[in-house]
Amino acid sequence: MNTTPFTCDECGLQCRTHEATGGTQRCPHCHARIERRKPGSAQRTAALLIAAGILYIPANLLPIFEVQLLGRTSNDTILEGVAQLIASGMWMIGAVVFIASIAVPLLKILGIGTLLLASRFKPDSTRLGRARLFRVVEAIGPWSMIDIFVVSLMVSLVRFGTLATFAPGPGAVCFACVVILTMLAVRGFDPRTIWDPVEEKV
Amino acid sequence: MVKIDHSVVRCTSCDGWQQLPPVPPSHRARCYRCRALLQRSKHPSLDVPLALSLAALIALAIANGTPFLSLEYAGIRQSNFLVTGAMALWQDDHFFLSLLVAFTGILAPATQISLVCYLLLSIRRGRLPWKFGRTLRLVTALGPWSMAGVYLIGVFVASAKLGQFAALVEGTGFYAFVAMVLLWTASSATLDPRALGRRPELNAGGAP
Ligand SMILES: [Zn+2]
Ligand SMILES: [Zn+2]
Repeated sequence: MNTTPFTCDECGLQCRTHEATGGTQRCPHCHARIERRKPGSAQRTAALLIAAGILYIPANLLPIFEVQLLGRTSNDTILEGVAQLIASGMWMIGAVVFIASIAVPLLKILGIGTLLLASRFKPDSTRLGRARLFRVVEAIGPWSMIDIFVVSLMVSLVRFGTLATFAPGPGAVCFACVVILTMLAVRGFDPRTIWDPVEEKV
Repeated sequence: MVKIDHSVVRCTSCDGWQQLPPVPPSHRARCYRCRALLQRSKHPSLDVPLALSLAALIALAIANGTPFLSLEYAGIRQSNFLVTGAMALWQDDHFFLSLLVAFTGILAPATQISLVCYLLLSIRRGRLPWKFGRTLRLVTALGPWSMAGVYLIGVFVASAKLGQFAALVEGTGFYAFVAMVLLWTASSATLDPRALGRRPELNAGGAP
């Protein structure tokens, strides 16, 4: 029987597959489904990406914080929060929040969008560049969570009854959804499709 | 029984088959065409990542059990534990945000660290850990959702924002949390989870 040794994508252990038999085969070590491709990868990634792109708009337009300070109520969007930090002279921290909350999600959406489109038309000369773009997008993913953690810390720390309270705004939920959806989209994208036309064996 | 040639590997990022030469210590092997990390040096000692992971686990326990941050405003002192962030959101009926913060900030890192400690301890004793493959798969799947380091940056941003009108005091838990993030980062940098199944300590040689 024709057997090919390979490493399981999930647990990294060596497996053998019997190429003659079809059907679902599972890794003997971790029981992950052994498939050369994530099924329906492109469509699912595109759907997640469109949802993330739509939610990105309310995430930035709706207030992420609702602050009550000495009877005054103010609602801040992400960008207003950044502007306040810069206005009070903390431009470094303002830059961190801007990059993590506004630039990173946008970069993820545009990056995966580019990869999906490019995998369709397959310009061969950009393969290595696209593989690198995927790794960048994969690595920056979690960093957009910063603002959600800031919200949770502010809500738990600023609890002074009528003096000062802090609550997450509707923008926070939209923003959290953008983070989750973009991370799922990155996970759903199959970087092997970048290399598809090449049939090489070394 | 077909003899598996361990030196022939398939890159998990691009499907490219390639011959993998032995990787010298403190070197990394990258895929010949997509440059993805294939393997770190073959069999470095497990003691370093194990010690770092155990230390991270202890630091995490301290971070959870001692006061994290406290804020003083208008004479009132508001003390805070690591879980208080998620709990306050829950009390205010923001269940989705609360679960997300609890999972990514505490639960996922804690699960990851504990499981890696368990795997390394078993392998060091020469035993194939119970449910090895599935445990390893859980550890790698949790990877992107384990955001302790991002949480730490969040603390810095929050203290910058709050510093304008109130005094923020870091507690023991905060320093333990910083230590945990550093130790866990160092441990992950010295550990190649995909190579664990081929450790010489396991005479099974990767077979279940
Ligand atoms: Zn497996
Ligand atoms: Zn590759």
